[in-house]
Amino acid sequence: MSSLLEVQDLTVMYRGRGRRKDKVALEGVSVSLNEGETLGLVGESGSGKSTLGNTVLGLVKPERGTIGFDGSDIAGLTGAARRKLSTQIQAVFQDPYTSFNPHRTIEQSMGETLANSPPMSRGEKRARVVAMLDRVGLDSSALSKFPAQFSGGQRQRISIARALLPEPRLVVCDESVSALDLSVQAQILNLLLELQRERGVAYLFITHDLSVVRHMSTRIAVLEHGKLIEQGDAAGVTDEPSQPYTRRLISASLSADAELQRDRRSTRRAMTRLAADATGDRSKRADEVLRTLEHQAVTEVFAQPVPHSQALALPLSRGIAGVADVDGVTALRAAVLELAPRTAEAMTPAAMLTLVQEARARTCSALISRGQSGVLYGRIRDLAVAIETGDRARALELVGSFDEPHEPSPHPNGARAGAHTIESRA
Amino acid sequence: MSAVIEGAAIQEQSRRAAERGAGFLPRLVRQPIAVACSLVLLVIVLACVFAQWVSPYEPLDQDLQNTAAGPSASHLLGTDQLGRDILSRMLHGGQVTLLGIVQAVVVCAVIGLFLGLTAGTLGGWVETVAMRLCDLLLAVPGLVMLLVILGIYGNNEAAAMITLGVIMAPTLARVVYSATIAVREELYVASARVAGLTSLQIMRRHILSGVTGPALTQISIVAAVACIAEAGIGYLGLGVAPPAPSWGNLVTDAQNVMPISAWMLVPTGGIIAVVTLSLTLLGNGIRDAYMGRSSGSAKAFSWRALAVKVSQAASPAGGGAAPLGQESILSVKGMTVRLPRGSSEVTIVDDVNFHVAPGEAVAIVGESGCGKSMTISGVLRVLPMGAHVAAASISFKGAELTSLSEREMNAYRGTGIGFISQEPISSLNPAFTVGHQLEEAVRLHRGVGKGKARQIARELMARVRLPEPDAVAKKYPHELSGGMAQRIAIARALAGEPELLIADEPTTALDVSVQCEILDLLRDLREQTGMALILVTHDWGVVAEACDRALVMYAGQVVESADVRSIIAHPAHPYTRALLQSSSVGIAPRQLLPVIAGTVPAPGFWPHGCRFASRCELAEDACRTGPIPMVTLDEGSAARCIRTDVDELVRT
Amino acid sequence: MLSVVIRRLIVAVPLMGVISFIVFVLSSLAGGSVGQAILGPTASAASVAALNAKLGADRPVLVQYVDWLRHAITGDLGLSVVSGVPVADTIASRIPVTMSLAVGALLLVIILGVTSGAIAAIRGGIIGRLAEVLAVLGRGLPSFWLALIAVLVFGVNLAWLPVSGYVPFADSPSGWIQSLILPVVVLGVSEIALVAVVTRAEMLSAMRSDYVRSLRANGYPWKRIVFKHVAKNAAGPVLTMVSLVFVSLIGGTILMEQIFGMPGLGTLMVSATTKHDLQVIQGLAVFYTAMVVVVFLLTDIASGYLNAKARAR
Repeated sequence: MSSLLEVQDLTVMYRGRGRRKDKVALEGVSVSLNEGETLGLVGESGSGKSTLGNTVLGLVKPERGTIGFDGSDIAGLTGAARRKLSTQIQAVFQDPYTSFNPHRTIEQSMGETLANSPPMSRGEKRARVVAMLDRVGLDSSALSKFPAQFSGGQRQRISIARALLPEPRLVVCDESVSALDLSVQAQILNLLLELQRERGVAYLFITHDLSVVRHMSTRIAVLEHGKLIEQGDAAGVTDEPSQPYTRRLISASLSADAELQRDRRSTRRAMTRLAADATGDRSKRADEVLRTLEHQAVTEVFAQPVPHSQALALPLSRGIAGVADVDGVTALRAAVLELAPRTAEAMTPAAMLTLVQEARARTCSALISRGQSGVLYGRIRDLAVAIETGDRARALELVGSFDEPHEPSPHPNGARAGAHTIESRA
Repeated sequence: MSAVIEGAAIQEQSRRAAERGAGFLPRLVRQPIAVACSLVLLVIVLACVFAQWVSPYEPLDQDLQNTAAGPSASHLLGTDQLGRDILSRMLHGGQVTLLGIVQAVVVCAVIGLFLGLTAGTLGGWVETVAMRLCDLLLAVPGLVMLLVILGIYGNNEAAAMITLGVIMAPTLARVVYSATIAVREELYVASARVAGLTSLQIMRRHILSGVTGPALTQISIVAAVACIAEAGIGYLGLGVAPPAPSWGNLVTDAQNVMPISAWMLVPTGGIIAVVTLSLTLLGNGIRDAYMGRSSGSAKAFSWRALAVKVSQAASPAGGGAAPLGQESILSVKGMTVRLPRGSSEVTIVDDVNFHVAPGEAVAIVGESGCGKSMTISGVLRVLPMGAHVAAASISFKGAELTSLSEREMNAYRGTGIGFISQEPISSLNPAFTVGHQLEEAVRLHRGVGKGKARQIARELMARVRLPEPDAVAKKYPHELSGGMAQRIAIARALAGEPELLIADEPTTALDVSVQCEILDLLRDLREQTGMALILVTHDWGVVAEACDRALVMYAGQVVESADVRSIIAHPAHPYTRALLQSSSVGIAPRQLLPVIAGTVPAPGFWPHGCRFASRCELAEDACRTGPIPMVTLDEGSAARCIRTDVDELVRT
Repeated sequence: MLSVVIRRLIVAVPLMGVISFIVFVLSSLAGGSVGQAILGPTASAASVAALNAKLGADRPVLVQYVDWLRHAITGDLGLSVVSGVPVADTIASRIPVTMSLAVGALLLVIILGVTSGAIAAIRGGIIGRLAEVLAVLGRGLPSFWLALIAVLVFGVNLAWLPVSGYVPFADSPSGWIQSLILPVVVLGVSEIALVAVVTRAEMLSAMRSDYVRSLRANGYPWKRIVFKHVAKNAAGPVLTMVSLVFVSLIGGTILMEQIFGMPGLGTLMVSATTKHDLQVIQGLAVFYTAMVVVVFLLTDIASGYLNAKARAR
């Protein structure tokens, strides 16, 4: 499928006035969106996500780059040529209270978007407006009312109706649901999804809310300080982010899952303690981090709608050959960690990761030296099965039992670590 | 809090708009003072314009038998020192004055609108040049410039009034300019551009409609000033040369006959006063009509009126949330908060019971308009004007807060109970450095000297993990990021070493990564100090992250209260369940979310029975007949639902 | 802080140049030369031309202006064409009268306006409404008319105060005060309510703010909130209002001096206007503008001190 919107190397500057310096809002950003799909743009405040939307809408002039729409560059269009595009590209903005002129009726405000459609009679126009209002769940009595007479959710419905009136192919949704309450937000998201299915409209969906963007998008682009960090299909970006920034963003987004939240928290704190603990027994702390990470990995998998046992599948199949060697078992435990993409590399300092890796190798070699690698291997296999079948309790029990065999001895890790240091000294 | 007030205000506004047809002119017509002023002005203008026909005498006709006389049947407003009829002279003189006003207003309006609109819409260097020009003209003292012009051009009224128009133009230009840029930034202008309207269409439909009100108000003020200035010139003898009358030189005549008869001062000055007052009041009327206020609705707001009325209500039948034998730091029984609306009161928080154990973190969850912020504001007694709190008991560490005076209450605020609000930057005073504000809090709550306070403030900043405390302390709130400002606000709340911290949506305005840091910080601080926390939020993620127990509020009531983990895993109340499902967690991407139809009923429109009944799938007749009590489910959990048994069946 | 002053001065100096230039050009466009003004309308064309040549008034406007400006910078504003006295001296001799009036009225306005506005904001009730009504009246009633009524009531009928003239402070301090009471009160009275309304509105908007809510919730005593936190935020806009009031008071002194027969800048202005004494008019225009510019400059510095955001800009 050819893409409907093809943004190439887009750079936008905000000119400083007076003593203020110029500010780069977007720098060499390229994203693309197919017909009838949704591209989610995420980022924190100041990331340039709204600027990108406004540039596509022609509200902001780019410094450099092209915006291909349906095959032609619309980046520099002005005047009549740009206005013609209004039947193709529309917008739904954030604040339902200021997106309507308080002095004009709903009919007047909605009629605006038909300004560049083929001329039609007043009656025809009204009929289209009424039909569209009806589609978003409002009746024709709304026509002569003023915006102040509607609630936030209703106004956002009217905003959507106004945007879809000229039957556009692309709608830019700039934080369209951010100002709404949770229950109203769900209603509006459903409406947007239904309309997309009915009309095949594409959305450029801009938001700071990761759970909303994951729910709405087919593709996701992540922006930070005006630069594109990562772009890919929605599941890929949110479940297996490749960039540290994306991981940080995802790990920071809170989930209502209390158990997952608790696990993430304990991982975070174990890491902080490890980082703060300059003099103490760092290897013991590293073991603790490893355990929290693994525990979190399993809860993460269950918190997500799509299972991920495939991450385990490859090391498992390789593992059959050389069960006994340290590297194989270490790889398996690393695969468990891979289940929690939000806690892998880069989210944590490299030094800490080395410590965790060491801890992993240490416990694995301890297990092998006791001839328990087979047991561990079996448990990891059971874990994969538990994940596949969605048995959360069993999975947590399994991951908790990884280090059990040497648990009874009072300080096995400390002892080993001590021995290790002596060896290296020698 | 703001959300609730806003919600109420919008309802109020929409109701009023619906009643009034909402158009600008119809609203203006409904302002009695504005209408009366318009009528007075119309009569005066018509009488002056048609003076030749209306006035009883010629302006120069002398009646030497009857000089400096008071009002009589033949001379309704009396005569001057030469026996000329004052009414006739006023009507003819009015032509001069009114013409002067028109000249000044037209010149002012043309220049002011042109400068303001072009500067506002074009921006760039045009904006800079136009606004600099306005600054320049503003520094010119008006009356002096008029005299300069009159001095140069002889007694040329037109020149003087046109100059006046030019001098007044920058004020109008500034008003138009700021109205224009305000509108220019509005989302509806962006929408109009996206809709493909031309700049001219946008100007006509949106900008002008936003500018008309302020501009008309300012123009009526310009007219009033022009009237006084014209009369002033006339009075100084610099305008129309006598014996031709003008309103100004009539006052001079009145001054001359003052030793004989003071009467003449009344009509001559009176007419100027009537015209200028009418213009000013008309301007106020236009402003009010434009902003959707009813005339003369200057609310009697004052600091004193902020004090909350507190009354002790009768003990409630069964305080569902008060467990036996468990000590609590804060215990609220049967608290109701009412806010004034129009001439009556509307209940915002209805019979709320809850308690907080020492060191416990309690979340108050709900959507906007459910009264969650008002609940904590009621406890702290920091409410909008005219609020009324009634409670059977609000006890903090055994002290009964309802019986305390405002001054006694202050002994608990800050030192016993700390508070942080939603907007970190605006919760700090923009006029002082953050270091100063923090030190002030320390000195206030700990009674220490300056040096010690500075030291404690630095310690607090370290505790809330602010990097470079010395540099940050010298900054003003607007120079900080939201996260840093919230840390300062937390440090300020900690200055009094409170045992309970109340946080009103502390992370809603922050980015997700900063939100996480702030919540971590709050948790660590609680662990260090054993401080209890009440956290108001609409975000289940925040609840799960930061709290032990949650209260769910709906339409002013607590509808469910339980341990966070169990409430999220097994919500008992249908509203809680629906709310949790509305968040897209756990739903396959791009599939429809389960939704609750409709919206939260606004305060004042709550049904008699279960307030959620109209949106609830499980509702039956019994739900609608009467108030639903809190039903205790397990130990420490309760729900305001009579169908929790059914829920259990549905769930399992 | 210094940069604000310098930036303001950079604007202020050209401003005075522009004003004086406009006055110069306007007077040359008006027709009727200086010579004509001195010799009167009956003088012969030849004698007028001769006088113009002698005074240098036949040169191009720009040349005349530059010449005038060169002298003005050194404080020489030329000679009055009517009296022949140096304009600068005449102005200097009359400054005390006008300043006594304007500054006296300003003090009255600040003290009464700010106090009543603050009381209205704190206590509410009738004072706030009264201030609103009085502000409308103050703007609506012509001051010269009020002055006449005051003269009639307090000067003539009750005979409490002198109705005319000015006693220099050096001659008799009590006489100075007595001679100023009526004009100062009449001049100031219409502006008091205006300042009160602005003070009240600004304090109320600060009282409604989020930071005051936070301060209240954190147990700050009300006096500290109102007189420290609210006051400092309200002070900026009130100060701006006061500076605008001062400009309007300066204009008002012209009428008051005329009514109360005081030998100030205003009476000088009026007589120069009636006599077409262009040199005096020119000098006064520049002087008045300078006064306003100085006031604005002081206001800017003060509000920069009060408002950190304004300083940053």
